Amino acid sequence: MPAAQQTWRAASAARLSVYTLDALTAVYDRVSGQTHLLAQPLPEILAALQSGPANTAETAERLTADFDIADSADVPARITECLGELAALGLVSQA
Amino acid sequence: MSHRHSFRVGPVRFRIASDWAGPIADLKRLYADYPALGGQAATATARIEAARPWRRWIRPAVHISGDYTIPDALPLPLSQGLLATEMAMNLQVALGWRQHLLLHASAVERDGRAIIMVGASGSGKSTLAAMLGEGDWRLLGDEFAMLNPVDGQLSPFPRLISLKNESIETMARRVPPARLGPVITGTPKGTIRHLVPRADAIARMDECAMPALLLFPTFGGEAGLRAVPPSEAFMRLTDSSTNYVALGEPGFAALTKLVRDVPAVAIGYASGEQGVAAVEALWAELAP
Amino acid sequence: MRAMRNLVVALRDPTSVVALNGEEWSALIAVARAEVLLGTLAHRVAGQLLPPEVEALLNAARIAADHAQVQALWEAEMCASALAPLGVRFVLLKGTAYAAAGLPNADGRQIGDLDILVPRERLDEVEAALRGAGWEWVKDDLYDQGYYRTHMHELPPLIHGTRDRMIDVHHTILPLTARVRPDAAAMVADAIPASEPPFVSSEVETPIGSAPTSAPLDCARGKRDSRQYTLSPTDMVCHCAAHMMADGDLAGGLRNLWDMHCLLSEFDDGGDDFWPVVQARASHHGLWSAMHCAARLAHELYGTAIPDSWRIRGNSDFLFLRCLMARDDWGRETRPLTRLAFYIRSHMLRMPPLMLIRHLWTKWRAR
Repeated sequence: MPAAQQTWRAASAARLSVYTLDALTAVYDRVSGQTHLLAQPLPEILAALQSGPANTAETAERLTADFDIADSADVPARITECLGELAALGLVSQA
Repeated sequence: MSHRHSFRVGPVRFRIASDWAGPIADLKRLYADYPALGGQAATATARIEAARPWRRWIRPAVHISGDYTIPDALPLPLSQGLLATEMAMNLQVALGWRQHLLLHASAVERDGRAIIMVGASGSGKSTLAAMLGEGDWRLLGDEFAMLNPVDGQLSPFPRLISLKNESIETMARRVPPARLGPVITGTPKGTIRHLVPRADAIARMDECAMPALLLFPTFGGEAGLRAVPPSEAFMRLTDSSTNYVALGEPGFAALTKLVRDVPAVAIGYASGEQGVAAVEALWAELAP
Repeated sequence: MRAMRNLVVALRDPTSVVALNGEEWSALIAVARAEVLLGTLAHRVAGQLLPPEVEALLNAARIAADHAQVQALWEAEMCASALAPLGVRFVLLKGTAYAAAGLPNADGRQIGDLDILVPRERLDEVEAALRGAGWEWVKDDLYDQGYYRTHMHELPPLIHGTRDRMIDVHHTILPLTARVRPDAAAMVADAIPASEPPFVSSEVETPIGSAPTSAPLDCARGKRDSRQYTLSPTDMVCHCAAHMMADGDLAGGLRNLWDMHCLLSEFDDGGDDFWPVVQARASHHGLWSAMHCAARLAHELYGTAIPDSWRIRGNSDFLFLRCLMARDDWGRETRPLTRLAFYIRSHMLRMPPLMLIRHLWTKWRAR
């Protein structure tokens, strides 16, 4: 399956303690016991996925509802990349 | 081990044993005003012992040990026995203490509000804390700042201050000789001399203080101030903590709250006097 | 030595600690730390009336141990993800396995590296998959690598680049040079899926001021992958015995023996079958004398209920017991001669003398 078609599921809000510091957001994961410092737009993508599993296109749609996102061709690729980064941290997983 | 001493520093109850009389005699003199354990349990055991049994007599080499040990640590010569004891005590706290978030920092207090000074060794945080502690401030600690994850307060941990090289002379001019330990030469960090904190710091070791300012000092740097964003402060504090990873969520909660509630400033200063003046000016600006 | 005795008695009977005075507690804390049993002690005596300074210390130790267990189980989870594409059965060993299976000795137990057992023929694939997922060699020295691969029962240790945690990948449970060759293939074949441990209790972990976390969590643990296995109960006790009696020099012996005690007590269902089955399985692995001895020692120190027929004391039991208890009230190892004898014994068991000399020589030359 192409990475963009993959559906992702986020760690639930109950599992995480999320703290916006400034441009960076500190996240404590109760399941892994690890602390992550996330730069934009990772926290926003994580939050968007918490309303339910989604693939890249659906995630982009949810983000557009809340944020002013440039209508650019490389947005999907960037979102897919971010989902990969979140997956490496264990904050999202393949649904 | 026939030479022993025990006493309390803030929340930590130390029990110390040595193969030699000298370091314990130094400890008994320098920690004379600290409370005894009074029948309570020691929560940290530190030992300094001969690297091999015969090394106690021939070319004595002091091995740092206790509840926790660093297996490959090189022994120190007996002439540095007091330093070895202090290092052994630090090691037990750094590796064994779980009741507070430990920051490798010095801290001082005035009117119930505290400054936490975080920096690598050589940043001058010890000297700055020592100088402030001789002025209008109460010294909370030199080596570790202990942050209580439950209420966000700092618990004083007023151990001996380890003065290095030039700062020895600076402080020796200001305090009576009875408050100074022996001069220890030839250590990896140069010459070291221990300073007993002022009487108020010891007498009030159970009075906690609320953090009001996070300071990242750099000695010898360009004089000036820079506001440190919370995320940078968070990163630098986790780096300077010996037990952040071990504490889990309480550590996370305490540290995020600290960097949110307390302003953080990096200061550069070229001399101790300049550093003290900068801290006073900053404090005046922050005054509620 | 009083403190070591008090430690054993405290684990056996937690109510015994209420009689301890401050000085006895000082010594008990020191030896418990030296034996890496502080977290276990903290769990064991929870709820007893303790002096306030001791209670605060043990509370903190318990919380830290629980948190360390969360991290260890996460590491197993990460390993499972890395190995998922291979469809290989991997078996958790030691501390992580006890935690994953929710066994009583997991409470407060320190967990070191992640230890896993995989089929020997899949070793190369496992190694490649782990390296592809961020694990790196700790030692890239060619001699060390060759030594591990040729003579040991594991790959050279790997460490994860960002999480900074080690994994030991075993393909059998004793070094290839040891005289005993347990049947690792049977251990893998008979392994059982790791049960789902309850998510670590959040009451103790939640600091004041943060939101309670008792809400149901969709944690990875909740859908723990069945690719994670633990040894069957009988193999688990066999491995514990091997680890203690054949693999090591009895260092950390009190903790390993506590594992033994808890496992035997947990798995013994009171039926007639349990002990004969353990004996048969241990014999199959060539571990009967290790098993028998470990069970006797556990009975001797922790009061483990073992059958009468297992209670015949061995000639060297007193030596083992003396070595297990060889620590003074300041936490220092005592009886260095007994210790040395056990060190030599452990190396003799691991490798034939000529190979030992070659190993030490190469090590020395490399300095």
